Amino acid sequence: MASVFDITGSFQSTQQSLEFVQAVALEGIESIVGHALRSELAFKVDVTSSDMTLLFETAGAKFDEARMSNDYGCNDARTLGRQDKIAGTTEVGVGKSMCGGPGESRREEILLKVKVILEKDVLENGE
Amino acid sequence: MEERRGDAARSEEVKKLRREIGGLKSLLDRERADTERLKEGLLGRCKRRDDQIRGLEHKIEAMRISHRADMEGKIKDIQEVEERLKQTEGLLEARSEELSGTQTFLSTSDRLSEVEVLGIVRDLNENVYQVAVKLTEEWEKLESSKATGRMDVDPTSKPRAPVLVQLARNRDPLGLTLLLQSCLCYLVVNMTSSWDPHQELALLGSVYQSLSASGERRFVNVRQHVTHPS
Repeated sequence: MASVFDITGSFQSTQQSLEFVQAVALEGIESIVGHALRSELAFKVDVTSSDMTLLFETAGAKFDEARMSNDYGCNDARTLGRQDKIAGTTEVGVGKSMCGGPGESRREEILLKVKVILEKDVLENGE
Repeated sequence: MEERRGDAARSEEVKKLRREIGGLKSLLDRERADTERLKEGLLGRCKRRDDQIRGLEHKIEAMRISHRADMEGKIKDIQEVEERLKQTEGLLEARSEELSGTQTFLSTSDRLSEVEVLGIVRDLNENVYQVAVKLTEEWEKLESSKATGRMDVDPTSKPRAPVLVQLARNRDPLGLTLLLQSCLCYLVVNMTSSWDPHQELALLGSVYQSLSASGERRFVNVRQHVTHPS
């Protein structure tokens, strides 16, 4: 997080960036960590009939409507193309996989699509 | 004359009486002999009965001894059976405890529904958004209060940087918020993917993959005990 603020060039050192992050959002980040641990507990202990994981998309990957939803722009299929590239993930998704029957492969299912922003939407807005 | 006649009659009477007495004596002797025979017969019968009674007593004693031996044998058998039953019950109790312990491995029932899990993840996403927005707002306040400009960043130094990085470098608040969100999401995914063999930071992924490859679904639940050994 401190490195992100290094990018802006607003702080003279990473240490200053870190101090800023700690001063502003330490409690919030701790809460996020708590939620993350709770999620892991839910996936690995509370739910055993399937393997659930959090989903994340890396920047530069191609948009896939089956696994993602567009957080920033329009979700209309006519305006979304397969060539659209992802700028970043704004909300994690949830996927699960289950054992099929005898001789069947594992079944994958998206329970919650990853929310992403597309490069084109960010650039248009930025301009 | 008269007197002689009287004596003769008396003499005759005495003779008669003597004959009667003799008859009575012989009758008495016969009766005595009969009584003696009866007595001997009765004594013989009593002796036989006594012998029979003694024989029966011996028999009863022998049966009692035999019965006691049988009873003692049966009591011993019962005690052995009780001991075996006790051991079996102990073994059953131990096996039941083991079974109860392994039941958690075999159980595939979920303690949380999908809706509840998704609720946790949505809260997590909301938290991520709140933190990113708060950091950006505080950063904007800091920026607006600064007299000097940016420190040392050259926008052309990394032309192929991701879009959000470029926006952050250009001090675009929206770009910064989105970049923070993305970073926090990445952090969270890495934190929760210790068992995921497809994640690069999955420490337990290979263990989990090898267990899953065995085809035994119940092995998957081993992770419960690795995560929470209690």
